[in-house]
Amino acid sequence: MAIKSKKGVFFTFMGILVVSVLVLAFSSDVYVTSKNKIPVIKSRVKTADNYLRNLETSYLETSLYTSSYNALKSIILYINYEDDFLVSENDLNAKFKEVLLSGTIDGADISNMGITLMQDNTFIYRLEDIERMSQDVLHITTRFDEDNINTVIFQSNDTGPWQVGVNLTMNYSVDAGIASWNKTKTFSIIISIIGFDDPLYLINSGYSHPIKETTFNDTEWNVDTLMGHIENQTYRHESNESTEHSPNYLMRFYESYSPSLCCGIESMINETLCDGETGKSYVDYCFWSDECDPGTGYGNKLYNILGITTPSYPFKLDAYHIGQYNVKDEAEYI
Amino acid sequence: MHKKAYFFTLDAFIATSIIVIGISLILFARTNKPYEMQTAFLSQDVIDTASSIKIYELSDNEYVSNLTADGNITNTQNTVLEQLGEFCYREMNNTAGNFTEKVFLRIIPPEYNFQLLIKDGSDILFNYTKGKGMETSRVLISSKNIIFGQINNLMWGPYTSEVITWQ
Repeated sequence: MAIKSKKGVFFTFMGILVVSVLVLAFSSDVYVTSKNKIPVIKSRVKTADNYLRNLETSYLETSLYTSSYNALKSIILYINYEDDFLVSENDLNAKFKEVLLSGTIDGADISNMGITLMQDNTFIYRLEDIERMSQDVLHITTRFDEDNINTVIFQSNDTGPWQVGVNLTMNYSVDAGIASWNKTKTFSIIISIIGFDDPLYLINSGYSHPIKETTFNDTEWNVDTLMGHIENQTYRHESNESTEHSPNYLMRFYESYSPSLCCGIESMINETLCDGETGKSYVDYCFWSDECDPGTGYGNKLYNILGITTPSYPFKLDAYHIGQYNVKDEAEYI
Repeated sequence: MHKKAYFFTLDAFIATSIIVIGISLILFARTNKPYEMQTAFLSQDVIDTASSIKIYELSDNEYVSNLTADGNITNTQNTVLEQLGEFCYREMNNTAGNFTEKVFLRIIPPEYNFQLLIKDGSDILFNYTKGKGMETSRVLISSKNIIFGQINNLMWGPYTSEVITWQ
């Protein structure tokens, strides 16, 4: 009897074993514990990837644009405040970088000079803002190497005469826990200078003279269009290969009258600002320098222009610009 | 004797099956979450969609077209969320509320409730809630994003946009 009972128990265990195997075989999901984690990881990586893309293609570029725009305006206000030009191109770049990043010039807060454009608007402020937000909202750690940021402000064939470019290079890292990125990248933006004050006018005359592009191209010049050019206080970019070019917009910050082939712009001194001057060509950079004085590459004489020159407005042009503005027939040497 | 052994085996098989089926039914009944995933996806989808659809893509929406024509929308390259953020920055909360009704209600299925928040740090700039029962809901899913933008030459934000969905 004892042997027979043991056989029954054996078969009972066999039955339990068979059922267990069947249950386990049809519920294999139970063993794939990582399966539940996959959507979470996928979502996390997707969030980090979206954030990084948004950071690089939108946030940093928008921040750089708005901060650069206001930094350039701040430097114009600083020049006006100091009533003096900057020293050189290097000086312009150094001051631009300092204003852009920290809102200071030579370590002094420019808001103390009444220039408030950079308050809560510096590039570093924007970087710290997004560092904090990415941590608080997305739990992603973002770090920018604020001590090693390089910037340059420039005009070139890429920007043309009516825009300035800003390049900014920096290192940064983004750590989302399950994925991280370390990057060094250069961000580039372009700012239109239309509407910006011309530093040459600000310092030399004390008047605001915003940049406004003329509607005439170089094939349309005559005495009538030149008159319109003067009255509308517009600027012209010389589109030829001559070496007698005007300085570009950025060169006007440090009073350089050297020619800029790609980006030189010039306007005419109007009646309000001329102060009865008779010994200068009335092209702005000629008027405030000796670049176009008689005996230079601009010719040996100055000419009145019939229809423009009057006793109260003794407008004069050098020989080179008479040709440029197509007013040879109206030019008279006295 | 042999017949008895088979009887025990069959008996054990049936008994174990009953126990397993019983336990399974109890477990499935307790862990039934038919809508949780949909709610979770919806919340994230709304954020993703509103972060990618641009204003000019809503030109068939009469309300949006009117806002653009009136000059209240100045940049049709803004995404829907960016436009909401801009309304908040310009303190046009009534317009933001109407904009949400006209745009978001077309994105979110009517059976779902949602809350849309725009926050500047801990300050709530904008709060739009559709539906009730948020406090008592068993399934409440939140998705967040960072929004920012530019008006003329000034930058606004970054703000937090948050969509909470529940059933």
